[in-house]
Amino acid sequence: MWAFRAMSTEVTVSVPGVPEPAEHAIAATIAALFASVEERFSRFRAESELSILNRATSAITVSPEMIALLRACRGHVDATAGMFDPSVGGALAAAGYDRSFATGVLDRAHVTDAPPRGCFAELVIDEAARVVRRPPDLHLDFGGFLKGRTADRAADIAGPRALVDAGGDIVLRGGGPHGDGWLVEIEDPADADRVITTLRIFDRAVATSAPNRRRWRTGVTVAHHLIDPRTGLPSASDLAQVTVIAPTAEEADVMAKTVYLLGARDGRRFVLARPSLAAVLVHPGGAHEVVGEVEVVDA
Amino acid sequence: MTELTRFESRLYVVALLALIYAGTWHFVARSPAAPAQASSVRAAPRIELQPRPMRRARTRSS
Repeated sequence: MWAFRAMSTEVTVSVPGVPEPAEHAIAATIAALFASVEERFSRFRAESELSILNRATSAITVSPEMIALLRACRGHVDATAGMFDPSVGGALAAAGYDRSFATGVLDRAHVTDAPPRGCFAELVIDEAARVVRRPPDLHLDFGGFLKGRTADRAADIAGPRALVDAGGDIVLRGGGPHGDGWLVEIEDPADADRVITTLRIFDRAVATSAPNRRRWRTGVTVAHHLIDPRTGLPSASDLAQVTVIAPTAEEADVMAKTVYLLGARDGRRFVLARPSLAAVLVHPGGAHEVVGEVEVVDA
Repeated sequence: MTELTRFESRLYVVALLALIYAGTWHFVARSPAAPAQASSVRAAPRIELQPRPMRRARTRSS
């Protein structure tokens, strides 16, 4: 297993059955992929294509890769009825998340800016001409969606039996080192040393959304990165954490965020209506429930 | 030099070149730095070997 840092988190790569030098070569290729994607699509890098789009005051031509990302975003926005919305970049900045995250860096005495209103549907995208026109107050942030999507691409590089873990967005290809499945522990959002439950996974991906890590002080209150597109503010969900199991890490990340924002009742219904998904909902206080089909190995 | 000796000397040169090629390939393929060089890494992060079990992972918000 090899590890490197990218997208403000640790990424690990494991390819069972492959000699160590070859596994290292795969990890190096994957590290280059993450570095390249981050350089191009981070909203915190002034020279990135995303930052150029977020600054554009008129229609601009974008790359085929940007068009592919925007097309994927549109699919997720439609699938989640707008609960996933990458146009919350302005709301994140207004809430205080205006630079690359590190513990304590975003703390401030108060929030001065009201969250800008707007939604992804207001973005005008001409796919054929590769031209995008952005309303003035709309700023994109690909966030965890891009991390999951990159983990999926990394797993394609790693092969049919591999694990790629991008800070909790995990792609698990094949049946693990022994063929009897990968084991995925779900961290307790209240105690990082404690495991809530363990799942056995074959050929799927998992992702977790919770406000316990990317949070910062704004005066006497605490803000976090899970913006509710309905309010433009950090979510007041009645859930403490959501883990979603899905065919891809991109989908798992989008759906984990969506279920968290929907809250326990609507989130549970959302998962049960989609047979390709399963979820573990963690309630404040630590109680958890498994929704949908997934094997729990420690119950 | 006889025809047979000339053949042997050519065979020796070919064998020597094959050995050099195989040796170079061996060290390039197994050197930890080689994959990074071969994959045109831009500002590649440091990659470290982790002595953790390969079967188990932990999901969390990040």
